[in-house]
Order: sequence, then C-alpha cells, then structure tokens
Amino acid sequence: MKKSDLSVSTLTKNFNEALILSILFHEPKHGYQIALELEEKSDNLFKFNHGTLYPILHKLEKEGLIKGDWEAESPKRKRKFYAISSSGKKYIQNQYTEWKNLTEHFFNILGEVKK
Amino acid sequence: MKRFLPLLREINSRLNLPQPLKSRVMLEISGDIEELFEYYLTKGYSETDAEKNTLDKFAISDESLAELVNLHTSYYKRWLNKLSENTRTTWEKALLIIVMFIVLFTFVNSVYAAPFFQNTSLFTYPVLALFFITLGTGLAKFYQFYIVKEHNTRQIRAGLDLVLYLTLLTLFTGSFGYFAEQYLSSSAGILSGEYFFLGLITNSESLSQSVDWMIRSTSLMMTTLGVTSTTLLIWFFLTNKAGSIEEAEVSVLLENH
Repeated sequence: MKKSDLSVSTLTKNFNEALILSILFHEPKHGYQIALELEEKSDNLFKFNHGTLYPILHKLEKEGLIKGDWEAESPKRKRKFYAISSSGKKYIQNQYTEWKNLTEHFFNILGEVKK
Repeated sequence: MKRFLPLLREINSRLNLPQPLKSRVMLEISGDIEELFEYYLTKGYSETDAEKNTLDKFAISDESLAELVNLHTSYYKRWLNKLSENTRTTWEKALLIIVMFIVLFTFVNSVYAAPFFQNTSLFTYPVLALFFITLGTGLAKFYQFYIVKEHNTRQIRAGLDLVLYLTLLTLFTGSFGYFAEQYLSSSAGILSGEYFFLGLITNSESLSQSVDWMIRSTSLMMTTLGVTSTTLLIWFFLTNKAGSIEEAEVSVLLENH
C-alpha cells in the first residue's frame, strides 16, 4: 500500500488526490462525474478543469489506489469508470487523520490573528 | 460527436504516447466529453451553451498532457521520442537521405577496395554479422509496414527498439575492437605503450607492422560507422512511419466513435 506522505511541499497534490479518493469512496464513477461532483459538493469552490483530472486519475490507478475499468454501453460506445481499491480505502482513511491533524495545526497558527 | 472532433484531434496531436495506450486515453477523454455534453443538455442548456461549457471544461493545458505523458513514459522513451520528433520536416528528411546515400556509397566503395579489407581486423566480422541481423529486423518491419500493411496497433512498435539496441551493440563492438587492436599492437611493441591512446609508432622497424595495424583499425571503424549510420537511419524512418500509422489509427478511431 502507498505510504501516506502529507507535507507542505506536496499539499496541492495530496489535496487533489484526497478529494478524488473521497468522491470514489462509496461508488465507482466516470472521470467527468468526479469533477462535477467535486464542484457540486464544494458549492463550486473546487473547480476542476477535466484535463487536470486525467494525470491524477492515471497516477492513482498506477499506484493501485483506484482501478479503472471499461463498460460498453454499445459496441461503439465505451466508457471508462474508476473504483477505489481496498488499499485506496485504507490510504484515504489514514489521510483523513493526517488532514485533520494538519488543518488543526493550521488553524492554531491562524488563530493568532484573533488573539 | 463530430462537433468535438477538432478538439479531440488537437488533443491527439499533443498527446505523445505510444499505441495502444494513446487510443485508450483518447477513448476515455472522448467518452467523458460526450457524457458531459449530454449532462449539460439534460440540465436544460441549449446545444450551443452545452457545447461551449464542455469545450471550456476540456481545455487541456500542455502541462497536464505533459504530466500524463511523463506518467506513462520512461525517461529513456521520452528522449527517444524527442529525438525522432525533432527531425520531421521535409528538408531534414531529404538531407538525411542524402547523408545515407553518401555513407552507403563510401562504405560500398571501400568494401570493393578488396586489398584494404583483406587485412581487416577480426572484429569486423562480428560487426558485419550484427549489421545483417539488424538489417533483417529492419526489413521485417519494413515488410510489415509497407508490403502486408499489417497495422495492428499493439504490434506497431514491436521490434523497433531491437533495431536500436542492435545498432548500439554494433557500435560498441566496433569501438571495443578498435581499442583491442590498439592494445594488441601496443603489447606487441608496435605502438608505444606510453602513448597508448595516441598510437605513436615506437621505431622505424615497426613501421610496416604499424601500417598493418592502421589498415586493420581504419577498415574496422569505417565498417562500424558505415553500418551503424545505415541502421540508425533505418530505425529513424521506421519510427517515423510507426508514428504516422498511430496518428492515422487514432483519427479513424475517433471519427467512428
């Protein structure tokens, strides 16, 4: 299983990966559905250009955290969908704790402005 | 789907991946584009607005595509792709053909100067053997591309790397032979051991032997450089052909999708 490597230098990368894995946690989805759901659930705060999604999805697939599969709606119409793997589930559950820890520290520091 | 064909073609031209991976990525993107367009239609957007929104969402940056390519390609493959891609203009190809003919002419001309090659180094024979194996591999690909026109995307690049590896092995064998000849001559006292790499003649008695050494080494290096230039050019043209077949296959695939 991929080791969790949450640090300030890899924050954006980890952030995007965590969002995608969380969206896939309960059911498999197509690439465009992941982007739409992220926008919808964040009230358009996390806007994803679909192009930026593919490198992340393919990287997660290579690392075995998600699994891509094809469904054929018709002989000419094939769609790729992604499902989270069991190691992906464990990974994102670990990440949840780490993100919580990170944001707590972040707000502790940010809280200085209110004192 | 035809409405997104220009976008798909544009992405396809920038996506530098080998087959069949490229087709799979393009199919994934085209599938998502189509689904997103339909999603916007079901949300009550007009066709024009749905198309505009979809196009906005799929404006894939060069950075994202480069990231995707880097993810699927090793450093070595990326370097090779760059090498063959950088030489695609017509005049560059024409220049390469002229160079190839000059190299071949010089090589064949030297081979026919029999006395020169009668005294060649023993290392010339493995170099020639490797050349014929490489040539055979290259001709097999040539037969596949041009004669039977078997354009199975999974098989297009199979064997192309072998041509390159054999060429490098030929160059290595020739260079190794050159230095081995120099070392042997040095051991025999023909060349000064002190000036090993400069190949200086030690004394006038060894002059005739040193001429023999020069003939052996020169004919070996001429053969090595002649055959490796030829096989490198064969590899280059086959790689370019494979690239153009892949482009055509993807275009057909997307148009039928």
